[in-house]
Amino acid sequence: MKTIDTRGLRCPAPLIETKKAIDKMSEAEEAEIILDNDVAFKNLQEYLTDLKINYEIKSTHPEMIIRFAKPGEVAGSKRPEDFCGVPSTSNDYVVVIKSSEMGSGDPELGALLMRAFLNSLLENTVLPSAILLYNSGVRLAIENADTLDSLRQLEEKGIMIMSCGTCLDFYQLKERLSVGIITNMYKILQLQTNASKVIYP
Amino acid sequence: MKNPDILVDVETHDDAGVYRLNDETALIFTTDFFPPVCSDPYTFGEIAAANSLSDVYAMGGKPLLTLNLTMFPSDKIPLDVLSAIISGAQSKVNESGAFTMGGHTINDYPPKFGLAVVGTTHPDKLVTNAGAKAGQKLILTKPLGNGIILSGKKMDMVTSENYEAALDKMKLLNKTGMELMARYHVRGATDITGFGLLGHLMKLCQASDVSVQIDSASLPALPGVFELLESGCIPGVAFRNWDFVRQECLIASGCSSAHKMLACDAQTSGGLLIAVDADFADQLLADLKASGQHPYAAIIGEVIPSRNKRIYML
Repeated sequence: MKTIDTRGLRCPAPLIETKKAIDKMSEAEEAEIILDNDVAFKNLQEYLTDLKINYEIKSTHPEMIIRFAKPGEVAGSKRPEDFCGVPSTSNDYVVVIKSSEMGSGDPELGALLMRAFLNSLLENTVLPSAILLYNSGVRLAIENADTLDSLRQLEEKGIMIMSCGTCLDFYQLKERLSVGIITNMYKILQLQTNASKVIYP
Repeated sequence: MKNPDILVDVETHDDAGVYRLNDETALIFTTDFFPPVCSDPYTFGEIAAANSLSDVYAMGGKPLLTLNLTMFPSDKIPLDVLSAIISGAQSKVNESGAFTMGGHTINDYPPKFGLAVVGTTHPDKLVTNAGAKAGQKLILTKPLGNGIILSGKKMDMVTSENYEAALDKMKLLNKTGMELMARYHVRGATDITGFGLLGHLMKLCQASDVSVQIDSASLPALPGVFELLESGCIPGVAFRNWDFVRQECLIASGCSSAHKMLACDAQTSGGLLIAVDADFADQLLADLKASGQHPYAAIIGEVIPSRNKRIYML
């Protein structure tokens, strides 16, 4: 067990000491960070969360102690130019909705199935990182759509809802988009390329 | 009841207060001061002045009169340091075309310095953070990360070259940025200072009742900033800024924490964030670059209608 003693240090020094130690640690190796100020304690937890490192708070008094094990891959440990579009971790997936209906057949049934799909997605323990809507799929995100509420709740949970701009233009729905953002073909492609799984309902 | 000549007050958290004198002229009134951000007093004076003047530029105005606000411990620090701070500030006031009308000094430690500034503009050409409209593009004129560089400098993690580059950007007046945005009839803009890009974006969104989508890969950063972020050199104030905006932000999972914290980094004398009609965005960007003063200027995103969240960052 490694010990990272940050007592007497003020931000950002405790983060820098922690990152230095992480870079030297081997996978699964454990470490304890000792802190003596509240701000650093709070910021360090946010920092570890950003690095996607799970941690445990072992003590909050008199000193604060955070324990963690180094994961196989530490988020953000990339060259600057690779910072965005970081290849995803194994449970990262995106949902791509190509049509306002789920499956092909009776349109009424298709719409009903799509509503049920989005509601189920809300209950899913592992949420997608993004939902892409294209072609008539963009109809699900416009005002008065009966799927709008589910999509808004999914967005509340941190899922990026992205509608195809060309499709909104084609159906003349751009002004009526009511949830999420507008995206382009480049982003649609990039997102699917980077996701480890893509689900098409 | 509010006086109808008060065009901008604290309500919209804008960069300065604005008062209409008559149909031709509105007064822009602002002040800012802070402790030294660097060890060289002349440079500190330049930066403090550029920072104070920036609030007038962000409102689309031209600085007219300034006052020096000085807190200085005459028994602890030699007076030639004070004189260097004031000379540095004066050089920037001269560059802006404004006049120094005096000021006031009190004994205090550590020293603090800044200006009170009065500027003017035509009331119809006023630029506020309430003037952004859906469909417009967002242009940022200076690179982000000077808070990270200053913090890294204290830890001895910054090369002198990168440090100088950061100071140069802090000294740079937003004068050219203001003049160029006026060419394209911009009505929505702000300058990026202590709340970081995301904090000032949030205020702009709230005041304009819009949302924005930001492309994190397009955010301009000072040289050396990503290496510092990678080393964990994230100033505490960036975390505070993140706490301030997090409820209003949706950050895509593919967006790195480095970009998120860069967008939260508190800036000293940061650039202008300009909402410009999409048709003029490329031209304004080209003009900024052609000026030779804003090589880092970039289109960083666009304004969209008001949604669940104020800021979407990809």
